[in-house]
Amino acid sequence: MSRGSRILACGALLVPLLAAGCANEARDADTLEISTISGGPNDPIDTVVREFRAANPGITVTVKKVPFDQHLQGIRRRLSTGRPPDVVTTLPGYGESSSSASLADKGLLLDLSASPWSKEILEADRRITGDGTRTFVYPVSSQAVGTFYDPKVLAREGLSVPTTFSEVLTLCRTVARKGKVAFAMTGQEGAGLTIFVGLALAASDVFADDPRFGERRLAGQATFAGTAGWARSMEHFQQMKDAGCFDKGAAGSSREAAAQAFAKGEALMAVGTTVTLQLFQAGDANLKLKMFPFPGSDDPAKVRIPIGPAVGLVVPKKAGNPGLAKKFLDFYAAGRERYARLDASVPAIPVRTNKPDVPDYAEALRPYLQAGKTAPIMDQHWPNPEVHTQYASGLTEILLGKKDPGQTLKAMDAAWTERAP
Amino acid sequence: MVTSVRRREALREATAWVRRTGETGRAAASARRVPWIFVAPAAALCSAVLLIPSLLGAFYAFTEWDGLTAPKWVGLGNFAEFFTRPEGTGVLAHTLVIVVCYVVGVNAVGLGLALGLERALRTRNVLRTLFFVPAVVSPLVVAYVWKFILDTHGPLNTALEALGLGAVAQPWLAKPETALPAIIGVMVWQFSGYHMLIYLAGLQGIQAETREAAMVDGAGSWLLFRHIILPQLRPAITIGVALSTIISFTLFDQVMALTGGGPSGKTETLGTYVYKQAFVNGQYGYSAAVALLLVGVVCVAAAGQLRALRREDS
Repeated sequence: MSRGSRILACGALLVPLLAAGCANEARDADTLEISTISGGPNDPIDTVVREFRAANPGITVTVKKVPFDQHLQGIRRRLSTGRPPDVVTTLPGYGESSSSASLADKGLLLDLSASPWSKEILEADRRITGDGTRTFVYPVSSQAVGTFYDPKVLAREGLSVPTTFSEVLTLCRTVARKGKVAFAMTGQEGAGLTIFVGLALAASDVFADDPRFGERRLAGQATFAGTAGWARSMEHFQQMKDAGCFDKGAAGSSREAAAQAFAKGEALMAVGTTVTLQLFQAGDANLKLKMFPFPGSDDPAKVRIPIGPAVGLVVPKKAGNPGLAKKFLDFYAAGRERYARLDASVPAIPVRTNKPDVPDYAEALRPYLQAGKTAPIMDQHWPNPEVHTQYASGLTEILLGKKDPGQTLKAMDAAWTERAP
Repeated sequence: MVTSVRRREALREATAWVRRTGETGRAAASARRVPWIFVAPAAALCSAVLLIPSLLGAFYAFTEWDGLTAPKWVGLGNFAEFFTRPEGTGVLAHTLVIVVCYVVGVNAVGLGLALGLERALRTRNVLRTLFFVPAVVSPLVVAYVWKFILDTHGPLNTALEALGLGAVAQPWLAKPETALPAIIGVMVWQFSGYHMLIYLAGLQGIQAETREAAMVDGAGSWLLFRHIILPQLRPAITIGVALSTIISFTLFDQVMALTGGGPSGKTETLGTYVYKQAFVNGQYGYSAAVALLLVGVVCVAAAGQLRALRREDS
């Protein structure tokens, strides 16, 4: 190769590098960039941005929306660049490598403790939204785990809402004799509804006796396999399977198939979070569903409701306009009650009260929330997604009749890491 | 003899022309530069999207890197970790099972279809098109269609129950014993038509006279296939096996769409494992190491195929 040709070849290799270096252009001082998840037609962020622009003439707000999975995968990449977005939607707590606590542990998020809404965050959510002393995420909306049902369908079948775990098993057997199933279920990887039943059971079985289990597990003071409540919750799941609560082929059904079975009345109930309402309505907005607390215990006093923030907004430490970003979060928080009404959600920071709340269709859950009979959404305390995967896989294997429930808990402990990835 | 004399004369004339014009150095250099000028844009693009990211990826394979903070050099630690993790050997085993079963299955079915449709059937062109159509559809689309078919309440189980074979019906994608065969089955179904075309082209290269001579000598169908068709199809078989090997080693779309690597990681392959470790678990260094391992395995397999091909040529 001649000298000229060598220079040409080197140039060809260097051009892309130089182009990549020049791509990181500077952002205007009055520009706010928000990176969020694609929402529905009534996404509150659109209204918040419109009103924020009107209240702050001269500023430019750009909103980049991408589908849920792509957004979560892109957060780490965007935060590691020189100029990340100013405001980013993410999942509160741990659980995913891009969840707020995982990012905060690496010092990538701005401390928002000085914001006026920070002091109003519910005590139970403080470990999810910060590290106890600092706040890293503005929790936008709340979610609670309960049991969806259509009151008309239940009445038609001559059934009533169960209030104890034994009543759940009795109801399952009664419904199975009629050729139907009590609970819509699927165990497919990444789409399983098993996890919601598991969390609903563990809320009563574990957290009624040990309300601080999540924090103790994070601190390494407890294990899943060494906690009697977790073993009991797995046994309860096994009992539900044996009582015919779920379809025999549930392990291989898709989430959509399970939702359709529920919508058609082939499955009478479905355990899920309040943010999964649309899935179970299966596109029929006229379907008036209600939600009751899932009784994970035979002692009604020990029934607990898993509740926690659903999504949150964070400000990266390297944000171009942190001041404007904080101002935006404060603006959102000030009108949160009104904005939540747009998509029928519930603000994670309650207004005029210090108790968590649920949408009106889940009013049966409200007395439990008022009485403080709640548990966290457990996987928000789990430092890596592998623990969740092991849990979901273990529950699916129970559906398939394959595994000793104790093995699942050991696998969850084995997957536990001291730090988030 | 005549040719070599002509060649020598041509060379003598060319040397004389170069001496006359005195352009030996500059003209030759500029002539050598021309191909590089044509290659440069493609080389720039290729280096931007392939070479530089690959080299960076190879570097990260030897580091502990979370994609956020500075990478920490760990040498061969990530590779050792892959083989000591409980799921590591499982992932490798699933990938090898898929490779062996898919390569054998897709080539056997493809060859069978080619032999069947080589004959003078009236509908052979329609049938060839029908068998080839799945190969031009996105693997993701095909996988989602099969996911619907293989659902517990999907058409396959419904059909089995209607035929009185309800005992055979099962959650195909949820059971560890059936999930991996289901994935291999879907892949074979999709790409058999593609391999059929490769073998049809190979069959058309076999002279009719050779077959007729063998038949006149009393060779039956099996002897004809064994001693006449198969030996002459070897180049096509080498290509078919090489392509199917590479496709099966780098398998991703179908697994993600059909099972997501489940149940309980029983269908996790190197491709899906690399993706999950990087983008779900945030272990970019470890993921790059597994990806590098995958590249190594594919290179070894491809080199083996090439060697076999060269041996055939010689």
